[in-house]
Amino acid sequence: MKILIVEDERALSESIATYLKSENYLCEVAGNLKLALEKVESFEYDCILLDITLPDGNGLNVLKVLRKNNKTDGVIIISAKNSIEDKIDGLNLGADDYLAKPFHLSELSARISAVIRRRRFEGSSNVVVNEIVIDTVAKMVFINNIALDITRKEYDLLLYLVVNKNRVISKSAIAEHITGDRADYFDNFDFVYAHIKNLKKKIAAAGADDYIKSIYGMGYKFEVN
Amino acid sequence: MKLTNHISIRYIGMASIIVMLSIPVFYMVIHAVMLHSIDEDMRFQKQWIEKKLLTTLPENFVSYNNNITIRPGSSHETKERIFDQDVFIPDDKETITHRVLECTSVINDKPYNIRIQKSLIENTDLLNTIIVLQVIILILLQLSLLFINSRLNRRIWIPFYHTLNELRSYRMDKQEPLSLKASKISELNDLNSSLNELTGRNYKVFIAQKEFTENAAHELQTPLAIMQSNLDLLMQTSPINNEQALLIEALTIANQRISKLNKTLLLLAKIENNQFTEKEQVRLNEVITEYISLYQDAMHLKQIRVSISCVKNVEIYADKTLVGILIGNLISNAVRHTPQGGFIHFYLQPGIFRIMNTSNGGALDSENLFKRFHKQGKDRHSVGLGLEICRNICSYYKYTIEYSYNDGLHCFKVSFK
Repeated sequence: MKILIVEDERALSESIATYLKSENYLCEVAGNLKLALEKVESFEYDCILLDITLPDGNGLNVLKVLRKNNKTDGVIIISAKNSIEDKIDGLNLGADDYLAKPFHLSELSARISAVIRRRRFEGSSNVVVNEIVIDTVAKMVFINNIALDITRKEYDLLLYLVVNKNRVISKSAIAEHITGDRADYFDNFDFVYAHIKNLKKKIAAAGADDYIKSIYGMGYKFEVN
Repeated sequence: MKLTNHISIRYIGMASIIVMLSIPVFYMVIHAVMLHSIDEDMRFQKQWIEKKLLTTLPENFVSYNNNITIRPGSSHETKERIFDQDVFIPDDKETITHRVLECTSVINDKPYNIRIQKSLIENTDLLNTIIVLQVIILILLQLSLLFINSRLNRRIWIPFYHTLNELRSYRMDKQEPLSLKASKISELNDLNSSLNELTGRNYKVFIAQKEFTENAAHELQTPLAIMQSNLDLLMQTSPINNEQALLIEALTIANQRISKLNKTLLLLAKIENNQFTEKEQVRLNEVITEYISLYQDAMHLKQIRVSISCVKNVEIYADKTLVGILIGNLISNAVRHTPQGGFIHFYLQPGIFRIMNTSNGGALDSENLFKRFHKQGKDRHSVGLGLEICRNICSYYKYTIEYSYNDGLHCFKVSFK
């Protein structure tokens, strides 16, 4: 999987690259618009992370070039602006998603994985971890080929943990992921704990291994060896 | 009290006092002048009588109304005195004050008592005339003052009232300058030019401040993103002991709060900059249901009982995001402040949304409730901007938002009119 990170802030692009590399993504970084356009025209990427405010121009130009060249690279806009106009402009120009800064790397990773799944035309939209199969089209979970009866939030939670497998995900990242950025959860993560507990119970009842580990103080981790 | 009336009253008062004081002064001065001339006149008469008596007998003296009487005197001593005396006039059958000169003169070695008297009836007439004249002057003065004032009000004050109206309707955030009328009065022109200068200067400061908030919030997003992503990376390193884990968690939460605050400030700046111009029909009951479902978990954990009485098809024409934020903030506040096992009631009628929740203390301080960074209670997680945003959204669309407290229930009411 090839990812292009178009971001002028090196500290940010580096940490994104570090996180994604450990998920076996191949990351390239373009620090300005000129370099980004060159790379986009010469190579194909599975996903492009696109900052809009670049030192030498508007990042939305990358989308225009992609469209002109009939390229279908997935694009996630990562913007500091969080303005609705930018979001609408970007999505109209063919971006797949929009993520406002600051964001959790686990959230970014989940978004990238969703974009790539959607772009994959071979129909393998399933996420598979040993005996657990997540059908992301039907939004269903199968354990040993038996459908698991879980709520929408538990499904979101499981998928989030799985695409970030073997990584510690903070409680606040999980809370934000399952409530969306509109809800205020008052820095109270009790509901995260409640959902995790229910999910673990259901997975255990279906006969799967206990993959979800609680990490002291920080959050949770879906551990697969 | 209007300035013209304020001045008029003092002017009329002063004029009245001066006219009132002038009446006795006039009277006394004219009276003194008249007495003086009467006295002179009588002295001349006396001298003339003395001269005549040298050649004629006193019996030959006849005068009108017995104004001059001459009697033989007893003493040789010459003396003269002048005084006022009331004298009964038989013809008119009334008593009239007279000026009287009495003297004793020795003529041809014979003493005579001479008495000359003059009626002062003209003096009373004079006093009356003066009072009437003065009163007429007073009335004329005040009528002319009223006339000038009414003309002033109509003409000269027009630019002033225009300026006043302009100021009254002036809003710093509406980007229209004051349009002040020029006037003949230099003070008004000075006032207008000062006002133009003042509003111009304030507008610049206002814009600068607005831009600062927006830029500062924008610029903060990137370092916050760097901090956030590095914290996420830090979590992946190993080994991490429990002490470090707690430190990382504290940092994550603090970072989360800064970014939330920052986003909220950006939102406020955007509302204040009128950047939400998109409008559409928004179904309120759908927005309410959506936000209630967002807080389902939180309400479930606090065992909050919920009752919803919302009529369908209540629509308002506004920006959907802003309406969502308004409703969401009110619901979030209610969920946050309702105590364990409390009660929240949602109520929607055409034009009115009401949310009531059990209080965990008394009534809130409604004076400061909608102010920026005013926190109720000791909730350290609250940013203190939620109601400020609600107030801003409401004033943006000219809705009204009110708080009331009844029977242990907080009630927030939004009227979409």
